[in-house]
Amino acid sequence: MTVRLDGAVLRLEGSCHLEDAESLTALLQTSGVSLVDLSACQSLHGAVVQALLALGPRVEGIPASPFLRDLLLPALLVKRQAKPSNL
Amino acid sequence: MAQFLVEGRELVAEAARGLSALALRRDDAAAMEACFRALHTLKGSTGLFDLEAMGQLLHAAEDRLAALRDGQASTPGDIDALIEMVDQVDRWFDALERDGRLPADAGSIGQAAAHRIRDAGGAPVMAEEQPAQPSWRIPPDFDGLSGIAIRYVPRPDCYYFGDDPIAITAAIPQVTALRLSARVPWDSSEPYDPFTCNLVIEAVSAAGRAEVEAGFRLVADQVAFAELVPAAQAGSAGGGPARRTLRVDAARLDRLADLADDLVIAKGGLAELAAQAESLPGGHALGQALRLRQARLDRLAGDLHATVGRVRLVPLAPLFARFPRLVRDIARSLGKKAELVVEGGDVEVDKALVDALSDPLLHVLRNALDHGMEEASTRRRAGKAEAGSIRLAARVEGDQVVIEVADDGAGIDAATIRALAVKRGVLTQEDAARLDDVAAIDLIFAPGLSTAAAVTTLSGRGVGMDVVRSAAASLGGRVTVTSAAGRGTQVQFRLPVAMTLIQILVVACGEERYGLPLDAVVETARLAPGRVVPIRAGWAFQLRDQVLPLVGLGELVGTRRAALAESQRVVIAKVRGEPIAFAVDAFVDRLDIALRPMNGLLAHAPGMLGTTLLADGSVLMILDLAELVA
Amino acid sequence: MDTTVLIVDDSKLARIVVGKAIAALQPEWVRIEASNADEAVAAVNAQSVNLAIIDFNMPGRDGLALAEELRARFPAMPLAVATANVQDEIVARARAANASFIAKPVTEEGIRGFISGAALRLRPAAR
Repeated sequence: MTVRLDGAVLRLEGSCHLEDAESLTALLQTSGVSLVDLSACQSLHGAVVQALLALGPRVEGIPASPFLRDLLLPALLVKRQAKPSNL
Repeated sequence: MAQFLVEGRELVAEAARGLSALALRRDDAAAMEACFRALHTLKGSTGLFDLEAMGQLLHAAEDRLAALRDGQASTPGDIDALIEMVDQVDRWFDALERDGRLPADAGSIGQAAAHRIRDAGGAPVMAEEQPAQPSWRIPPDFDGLSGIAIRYVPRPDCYYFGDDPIAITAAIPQVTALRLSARVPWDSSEPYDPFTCNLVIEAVSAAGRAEVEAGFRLVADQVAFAELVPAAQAGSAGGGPARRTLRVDAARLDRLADLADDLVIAKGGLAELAAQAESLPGGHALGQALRLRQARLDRLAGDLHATVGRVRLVPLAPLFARFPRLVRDIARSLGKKAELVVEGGDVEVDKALVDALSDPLLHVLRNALDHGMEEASTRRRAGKAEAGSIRLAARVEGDQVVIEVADDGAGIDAATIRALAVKRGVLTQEDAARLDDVAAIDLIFAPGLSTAAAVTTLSGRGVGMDVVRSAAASLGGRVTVTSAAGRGTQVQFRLPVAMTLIQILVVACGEERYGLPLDAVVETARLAPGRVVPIRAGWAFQLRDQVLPLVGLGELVGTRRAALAESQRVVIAKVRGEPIAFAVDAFVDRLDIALRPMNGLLAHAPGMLGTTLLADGSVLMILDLAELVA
Repeated sequence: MDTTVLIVDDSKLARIVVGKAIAALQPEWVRIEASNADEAVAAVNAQSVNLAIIDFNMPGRDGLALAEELRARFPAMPLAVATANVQDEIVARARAANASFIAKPVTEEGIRGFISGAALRLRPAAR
């Protein structure tokens, strides 16, 4: 399972693909998830990354891949834009 | 601006170095090259900060240097004029640091320089070559990076077309920075659509442009590129293999150093716990296993601590580089002539040391010029060169750095100092008479003595040699002075190079605990009653074939005088080569600790090497046995 | 109606490889094959085809020409051109025809992006 709910922690494991963005979005919005754990993930599709960026859950875990660990994760952890109120 | 100030200073120093080299040898091509590079880069940066006057002056300097290089008619004063121009830029940096802008007369100075060039028929003002500007604003996080900047804005429907922008980016070689943002602000009034791409991917790659562009060829219409060149390249004059360097926020390094210290402390209790585990019934195997782990942890923590200590080490060169110009300025204002020779700029010390040394060294140099340096006529009569010479030199001796300021001036007359000390009420006549010459000269560090007999505009600032001495002490070192009347004076700082990890023995004297440096400790022992013999000055006892003096540690530290115990514990330490036994109430522990030098009120307390923080948060004093016994 | 994917390649082996890759990702999809452009056109005339993967290097009309023709008839059909060698002119033509690229030899990973995207586009609920 690439997107796995473990209590209040959502674990992204292995390679997360385009379709996973949908289940990730649904889980983040409905099931009171407090944390997304990336330590077991090997790759993330752009749509998955985008969902994390847009929905802004707390993200933890150090993935093994150097790209994820050194470049993507820091970019995700950067203070996100505040969501604009009714434009 | 802060970055500009830091790099600008380095560039000025580089230019000055190049000019000094050229002063010695006009045909030093490497120095000429380095000087040009520095001036040119500096000039380029001034454009970013609207410092027109500085830019004009630098341009004029460049032209003049070019004329020199091309062998056009050069006057003897050329190098001096160039040095003066570079000095002026350095002074402007002072103004920028102090006031945030150039002084009022900067504009006219810059104009004058520019006119002089035009009038002399010099090269026409070159159009500034600007590197191709990117069409978007490079994110500030990319400041200081070099390579290819990338801005990839995938089409909103790219996911439907099978594009994975993150995978594409991940496949680009040598990406050094990545920034993700939203093309259109996230709108929480609409349900989130995970399949419409809303990413903006900005990145920097250190690979070549062709390689980077190739990685994006399938989405080339959605990507823009730009060349990134960092604002100022501070290279070392004269080549040599470039060290890979990073600019790191000093506060972060301090935090890292503190963490390394804390780690050393935190692991401290483990040895004891391992021992406890071992002594539990059935705990032997566990205890052994813990000991092994603890030993490994010890090694790692020690390594980390040493490495962090080295990370904080920076060369003295940038600090030293400020002084030649200052010396020239001060000398000029005093109507004297003096040159500063600098050695050992490549010696590395803890960054905190560099920061703390700036003012004391400046004061010592001022003193050398103000009081030490004679007028030109006096020097001539004494057969010295008209221009005074001051040598600022640094060298490493073991784990200490020795910094000397030596001048060939008038020296310090012991008799004069003695008289002054008496006059100022620092010493009585008898005490002053009892001091030998060396001790008399050392009086210049006494508070109350350090303002000069003749108050000049410089010395009137109230920064005295006593402050210099306490500064040295607060850094865990000391400063001494030697002098020969008529010949010159040498002020010598001895300071620890870096944070030191030392092993200590913790002992108890009554309620108090103290740490003794383990490398001084030879042995610990328990003396049976009757072994201790009272002697004239205290006690002694026989250890194997030697008779050792015995002193109470508690007494030395001034806490108490106790009777000897039935089975007296003693620590035998080597003090100046001789073994002495110190009576203590208990041996508590052996620890690795990070020694922190004394500061503040305790900086002058004799007998203390420093302090350290224990695992329980209390402060332990580490004693300097040699000083205690003296 | 089952989703139907058309695989066009003059090499039978290549068609099997692509078929396997698709089967791994979307086992329920129906796969039909054609060995050249003419056969491919005949296939889309005979039944409802939802998406196509076309080998670029074919004798007669090449894969891009076929993609352009299919694009003209089916403005929204997900189309991918499979090729070992991506050259800039080919990239430009494919983008103009709104076709994706798949690297040859085709693997599950290499085809995943296109297949996922296509599956998304083909969902009954319009986005």
